[in-house]
Amino acid sequence: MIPTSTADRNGRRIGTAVSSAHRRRHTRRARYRPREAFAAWLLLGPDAVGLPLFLIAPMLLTVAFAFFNVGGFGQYSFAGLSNVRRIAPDPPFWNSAMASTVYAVAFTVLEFAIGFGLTLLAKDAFRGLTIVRTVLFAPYVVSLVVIGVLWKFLLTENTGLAAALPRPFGLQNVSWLGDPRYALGTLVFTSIWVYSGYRMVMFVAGLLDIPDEYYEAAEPDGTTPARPLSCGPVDGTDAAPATCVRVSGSPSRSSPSSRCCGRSSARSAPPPTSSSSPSRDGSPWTTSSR
Amino acid sequence: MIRDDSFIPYILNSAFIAGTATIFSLWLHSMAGFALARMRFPGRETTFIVIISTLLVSFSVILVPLLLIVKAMGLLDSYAGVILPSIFGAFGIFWLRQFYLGIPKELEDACPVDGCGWVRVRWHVAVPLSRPVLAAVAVLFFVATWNAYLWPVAPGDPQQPGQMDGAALGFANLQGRFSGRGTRSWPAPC
Repeated sequence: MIPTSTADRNGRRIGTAVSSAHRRRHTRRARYRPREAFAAWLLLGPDAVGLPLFLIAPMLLTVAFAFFNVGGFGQYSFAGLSNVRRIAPDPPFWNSAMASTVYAVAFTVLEFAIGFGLTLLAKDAFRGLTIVRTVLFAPYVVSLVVIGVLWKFLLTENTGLAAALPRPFGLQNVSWLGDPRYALGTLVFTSIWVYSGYRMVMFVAGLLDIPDEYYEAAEPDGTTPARPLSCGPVDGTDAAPATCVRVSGSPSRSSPSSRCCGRSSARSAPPPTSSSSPSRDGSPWTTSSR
Repeated sequence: MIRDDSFIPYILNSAFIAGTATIFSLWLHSMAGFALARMRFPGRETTFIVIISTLLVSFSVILVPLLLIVKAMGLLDSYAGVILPSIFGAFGIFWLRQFYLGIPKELEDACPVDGCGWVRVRWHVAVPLSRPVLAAVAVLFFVATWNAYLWPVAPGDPQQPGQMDGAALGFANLQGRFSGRGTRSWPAPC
């Protein structure tokens, strides 16, 4: 509790339920200055009008419309739960709900994993790094309509480029979009193609935020190939958007303790000295990172 | 393509809509984010939670009610009808609030000593410090609005499509160019 409150007072970024509850208690004890509150609501004003009008009201209206029969030309008649009763046994509804769920889960997990993998590839400096990053990020910049047209073109049955992919393996043309078995996977794949570069940039920004001292502190502890990812880099990716799963919620970011391990970054790592830790010298990770 | 088709108006439309929406978003959301992060007032946590909870709603869910609201405001078939709803969103507020939380408190504590109020704290301390994050949010907003496909069509006049269409729609229209323009069909908003 104590470290959280100091982090709060120092203005550090905090996002856990504990700290917000703490702050609420803190503010309740403090008296509000009327002028400050007035100024705050003035600053909030436009958004305090616009958000309810254009986001919250439509949300509530959506819920309300669920209980009405709406004719095409403005007749509304209260229908009670009959809409729900109609949709409950409807197979296409459940089918689409299932497809949405599968798509959302597969896309989130794979995009996160692939984006993070690309991050590790494109983090340390090497020749052509800028080109690699640019190429990976490029799909995100392209307009979604263009991407849609492009992929539709690539995935066309019989004539498309992607349809011909299985041909050298003696298989028939695959209809990537037309076959119900493959359509959802194709959509997930194209979505990942679009967004993983964007996720990579988010992660790279987060990783570059980690001070090099962490890596240097971790080095004498013997960084193993498997461990550097377990807490070091993930901890620093606070800058990644909230839609990403926060892997680590611990406030260990502010304390470069020795239990936090990391790989030595190519930018400022000192050359390895054989005296610090004999086990590390044989590690393939350490040699490959230099 | 540029010569024989009316593609330039599409691009101008997109630039105008996305530019205006981005400028207004940055302006309003940085104010709101600053208030939520740095100032103490009753109801701050509740307001923030309500704002965050709107992140959960997908746009296609609120499309029809939003259209009704825009219609009730008499903004159908106007740039304001396209731009206003695309300004407001929780994402920018959240992002900027997170940034403002990270500014050292000493910087703003120094200001009342020099005798300046909250407005000047914001303009002379918070805004210059947040230039990088404002730039990042601006890029995100601009790209999102530029790429918007569904919403810019909806408030348009179904009788004469294409008046306010942006580049994304223009490109999609090119697809059906030789099969006639009337490929887009939208019901009249009830």
